[in-house]
This record gives sequence, structure tokens and C-alpha cells, in this order.
Amino acid sequence: MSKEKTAAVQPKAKVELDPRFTAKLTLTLLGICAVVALLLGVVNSVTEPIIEEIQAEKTAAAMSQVLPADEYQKVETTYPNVTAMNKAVSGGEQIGYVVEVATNGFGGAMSMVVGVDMDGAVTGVSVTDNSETANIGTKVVNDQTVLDRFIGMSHADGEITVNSGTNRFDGVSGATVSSKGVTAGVNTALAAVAEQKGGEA
Amino acid sequence: MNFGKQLKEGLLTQNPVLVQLLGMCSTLAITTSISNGLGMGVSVMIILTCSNIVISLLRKIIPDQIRIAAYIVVIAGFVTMVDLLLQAYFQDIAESLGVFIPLIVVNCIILARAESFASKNKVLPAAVDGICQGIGYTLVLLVMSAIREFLGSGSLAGYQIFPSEYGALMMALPVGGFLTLGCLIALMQWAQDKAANKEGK
Repeated sequence: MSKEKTAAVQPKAKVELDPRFTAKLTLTLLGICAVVALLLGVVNSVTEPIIEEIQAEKTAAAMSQVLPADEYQKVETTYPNVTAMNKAVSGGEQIGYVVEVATNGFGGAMSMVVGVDMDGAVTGVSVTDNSETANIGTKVVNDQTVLDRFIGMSHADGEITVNSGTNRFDGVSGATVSSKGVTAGVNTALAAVAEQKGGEA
Repeated sequence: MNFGKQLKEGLLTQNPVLVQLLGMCSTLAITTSISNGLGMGVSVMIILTCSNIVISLLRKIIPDQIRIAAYIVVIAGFVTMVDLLLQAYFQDIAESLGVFIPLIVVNCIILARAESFASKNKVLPAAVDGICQGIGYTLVLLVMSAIREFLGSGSLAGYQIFPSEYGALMMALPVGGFLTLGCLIALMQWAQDKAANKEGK
């Protein structure tokens, strides 16, 4: 069996198996990889603090946009799809929660920041990171007048649904998936806050 | 080798997108707005030129058997650097291009030019090839994104020409990408045919 196989392969160019040659191949590739890795490390060390700063700034700006407060205190949460939760405190009194949630739109993962007051109503929504289609999905995630439609909505009448039901959010036509993704994020945030409040009471 | 001939090849006779039919995926995906097209085109041009230079420099060092692996490491290295730099210094472009920047690694224009040109030529022609092919790619992206942005949402480079409600949503969707690309390729073939006939006579 093995003989037949070798015979069949024979006409093709024989692979050079000289150990020194193999070592040369390996070392060349290793060398190239090492140089590239070193350069990447250098670039990363330069850009990492800048990128982190931009991200932190964006999150801070989004938090004060959705629920302005004097101070934000981090609270631990294990609610699914919630990446961070903060208590918003103004004048020594808690005025609500700011929740960072991960959700999915048409273009994949999206990050949002949702402000919720002590009555469980939305005070503001901001999408901090998205890959939605330009001129379609972005009509939802980048248009503050659309996102502001969530303000005042709560889970008092059940989950928020897009373009239907009693607790309805009017989405943008043609951008149903993005509208639904944003709505799912708001629902997650409201549910997470409700659970958090239940746990604290 | 002269610059004029290479430029003509990059722009017309050997245009990477319209004639070589390379890099279709990114071409179809990101040409929804002119700023995206320009950002992607310039990113690819920079990466292509850098990787062409390095691969041309290394062409005698890299053994034939492991050349593809070596090329990919070099290309991936440059792509990651550009990705990090964009995120740190050009936040807006990085955000709107999203996952398509890391995906430049598998943009076949870059690997194809490394394999068919940079690995066989001296540094200077390789660099010129990178720039010319890059310009050809960017130009096609610009034309495509201008057509799609105008017909799809009634704006050009963000300036509203007619109200976006009258735009054909289809043009901003993948369908519009295929239609536009098909028409452009047909136009290119027709023009080349005409030019060839003229020369024949």
C-alpha cells in the first residue's frame, strides 16, 4: 500500500528533507516573526494609552449625556450582556443607574450606555461603539433624536418592542435589525437595573 | 520599469479591482460612503506599499518553500500597526471601517502583488507598484462609493444633494454594491476593447 503511494507521488518534485535546510526554513520564519512581533510591541506601547484614554473619555461623555450626575460609583453585576453598571449620585443622593450593555445590531456587536432613573424609566441612550451600515443602521445608532425616543420608557408595561405592542419603540424603516438591537440593549439595561434594585432592597 | 507605465497599469490596464478582480469583498462592503472609501483606499495603499518594500527587500532571504507564510506575517504586521494607529489618531475612520481594517490582511490585492511583483523586483519598482496599484484601488472605491452614496442616500461626501428619503435604499445595500461593480467592470471592458481595436487598425 505504502509503496503504491510513494510511486504515485514520485513524479512530483521530491521534498528536500535535509535537516540543515529545514532548520534554515524554520529559523528564517522565526526571525521574520520575531522582528514583526517586536515592531508590533513598540507600536502597541505607543498607541495603547492613547486608545484607552479615548475609550474612557467616550464612556465618560456618554455617561454624563444619558444621566448627568456629580459622581458615578461602580457596582458589581453579573447580569448577562451587562459590561458595567454605575450608580449615578448627585448631591449625595442616588438619582439612578448608568448601565453599559453589549448588544447585537446588523453589523455585529454594539456597545451602548443607558441611563435609568430610580423609577425604572430611561433617561437617555447612547451608542458608544457600532459597526452598522453607513446611511442605514447609522440612522438609528448615530441619530440622537431617534435614540431619545426611548426617554421615559420603562418596563411598567412589559418589555419594549419595535413597531408593535403597547410599549412600542418606533424604529427606523429599513433599519429594523439595528432598531431591534438597540431596543434589546435598552431592555437588558432596564431588567438589569430592576434586578439590582431588588437585590439591594 | 518606468513610473508612467506602472501608473497606467495600476489605474487602467491592470487595475486591481476592475481588471484583476482582486479585493472584491472589501470593495463591495465598505463603498457605502465616500469617507469610508477614501479611508479604506488610503489604508490599503499604505499597507500595500510598505509590504511591497519589505517583501522586495527580503526576496533573497525568504526561501521559496515558506514564502506565503512569510508574506502573511509581514502583511499582518503592517495591518495591525495601521489598525492601532488609526484607532489612536483617526478614531472616526477606525470606527466607521470597523472590522474591515483587520480584514485587509486577507485582501488578496496585497498578497497577489507580493507574490507576482514585489518578490521578483527591486525595491524601487516594488514601492512604485504598491503606490500605483493602491491608487487604482482607491480610485475605484471612490467612484463606487460616490455612485452608491449619491443614489442611496442623496449625499456626496456627507453633503446632502437631495433629501435622503428619495434615495434608493437598495444602492446602500450589498445588492447596490454588486450592481455598481458589475457596471463598472463592464464599462472597463468596453473601454479596453475599444482601445485595443484602435491600436489594431
